[in-house]
Amino acid sequence: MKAFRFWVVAVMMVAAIGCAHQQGTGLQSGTTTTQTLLGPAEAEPVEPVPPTFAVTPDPLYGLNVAMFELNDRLYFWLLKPLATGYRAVFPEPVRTGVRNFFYNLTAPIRIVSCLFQAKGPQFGSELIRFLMNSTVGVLGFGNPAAKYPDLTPPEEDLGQTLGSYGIGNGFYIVWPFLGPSTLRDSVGRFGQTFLNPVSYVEPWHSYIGIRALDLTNDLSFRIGDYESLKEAALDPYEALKDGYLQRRAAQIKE
Amino acid sequence: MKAWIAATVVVLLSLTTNAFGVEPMEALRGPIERGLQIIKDPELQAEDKKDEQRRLLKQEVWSVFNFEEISRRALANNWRLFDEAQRERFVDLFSQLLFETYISKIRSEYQDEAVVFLDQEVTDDRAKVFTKVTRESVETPIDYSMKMIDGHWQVYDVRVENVSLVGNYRSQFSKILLRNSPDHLIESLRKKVQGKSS
Repeated sequence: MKAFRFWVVAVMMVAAIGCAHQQGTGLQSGTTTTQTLLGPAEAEPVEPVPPTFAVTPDPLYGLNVAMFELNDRLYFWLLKPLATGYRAVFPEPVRTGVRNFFYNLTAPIRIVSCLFQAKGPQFGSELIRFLMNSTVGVLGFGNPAAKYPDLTPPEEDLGQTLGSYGIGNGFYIVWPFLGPSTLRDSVGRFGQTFLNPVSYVEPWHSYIGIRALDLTNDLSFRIGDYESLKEAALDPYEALKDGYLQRRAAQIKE
Repeated sequence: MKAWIAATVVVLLSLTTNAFGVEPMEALRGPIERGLQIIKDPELQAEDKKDEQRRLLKQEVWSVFNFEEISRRALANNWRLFDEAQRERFVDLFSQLLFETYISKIRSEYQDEAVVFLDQEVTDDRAKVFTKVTRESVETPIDYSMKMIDGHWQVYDVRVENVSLVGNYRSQFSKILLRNSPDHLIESLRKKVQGKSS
């Protein structure tokens, strides 16, 4: 199992580096497709299409669509009923406490990401926030740091860190359960498992249980969001993909 | 000659300040707050008042959202593939789709959501208005891109958690138009809208 994990990371790393090298050419071909797609510019004022979104290729399209369909069914058949029941049982303050607890636990990811991006002030904020919420906030269930706007910096992660180094998305991937991602963000996400204390929980079924609680609790705040996205979209797959890529691009720019 | 130029400049300046008299944030605040009032109004919540509620809401939304501009931007250069009649059909259906989806969402889930107007950035005839919506303890940033059109500040894009609505539809429309005709896209829109209102 360990050896397998190692190989998965190794392959992803090599692929990510490859993509970083190819970025120049990738961008060029991306621009030309955009142009042929949209045709020559016209006198009428139209917004230029932001190139970053056009560039991210989707070579796994068939597989990604299958994963998207799978996640869709997982959501409606399993995750949504679970989160709805959970939401009915636990009042909002409890769920907020649980969310705070898990957010606080992942502080190492954000702290390290700030460090790797040389974001000094944010690094300090994250550290102070972690110390304050872990102590005054009783193991992170409370969020006393919320009273100080400076102590809620934008959430950093390793995918954004790689992005800030100029590493492009690579290509788009849809993971079962986890949803939209890119090659770069998947590498980041894998790296994060080493920084997330929850990953070290043994035995594996306790780990799965804790992860399930985290996900269900999180989802209990967002029931309905996916439905509205689907409702509003003509092509839900494309809408989710574009939404993910837009959000990530904005986070990296921050 | 110099005096004439100076006079013209003065007149133009005073015109622009007049035209920009209403701040974009205020131009947006009115319709949004009145819209929420209409949704909350218990008298309008009865089943037989649905049409009346919808009519009042439409009035507020259309007063500040410029759907032609939104459609044009969502189609980007594909806009030129559409003839006059197709454009008209498209704007009509797309605005209905946006209205129906978002209104039904707000109506079904409006549980003491509060809209807070945070800030605005104005450069010439463009503006951004920053707001946040608070539901339970989750804050969602919603930013409005506005443009001065015919002397009014009008919305041409909405960003929810940094995702541009126009950009999101643009990627969908361009994917569909890669293989299909404008009429096909209009037909899919019509079906989608029909599925909602029934």
